[in-house]
Amino acid sequence: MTILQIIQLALAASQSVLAGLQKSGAPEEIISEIGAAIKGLTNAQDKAANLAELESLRTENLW
Amino acid sequence: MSRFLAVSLFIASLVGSCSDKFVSTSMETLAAAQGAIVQAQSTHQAQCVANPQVQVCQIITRAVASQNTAVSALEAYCQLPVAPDPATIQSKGTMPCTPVPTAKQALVDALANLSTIISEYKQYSAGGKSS
Repeated sequence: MTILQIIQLALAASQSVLAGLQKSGAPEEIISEIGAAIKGLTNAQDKAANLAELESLRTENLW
Repeated sequence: MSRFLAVSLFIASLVGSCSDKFVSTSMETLAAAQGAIVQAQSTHQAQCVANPQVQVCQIITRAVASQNTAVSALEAYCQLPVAPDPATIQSKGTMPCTPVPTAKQALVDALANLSTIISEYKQYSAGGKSS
């Protein structure tokens, strides 16, 4: 599993946690902390450029 | 698809000051373009293998070259190895994208050129037969 995939998993989990907290009427302070964590993970995701992923975007000329 | 590319580029230009978002938007644009190119190759495979000089085949060939140029431009923008060999890809794995502001325009231009060629293909396949 790549670093990028780990970050993406953490991001998805955090978003689920946030949705659950909001649904449960959790205190704003807690929701705010999770929101900040999601923002940090989103930034990390954008910075974790996966070389293999980028290279997979190359396309072969078939003729 | 070309509309999506145009919108993506427009968004990319709007968020130009946010380098991280620019990178992910560029990657999304490249992924969408790759999908369009692969679909076009599949559609015209037999025709173009038989005669690569046909206009639509040349458009697709230019799209492939433009796509690969844009990938290289993104790698350069992120200070990643450009067109690395498999061993380098394996050893480097995930690396932080460290944007080079001076390389941004080349990436924007490469993505715009790619979008233009994809649009050209769409016009052709829609019956417009671009010049």
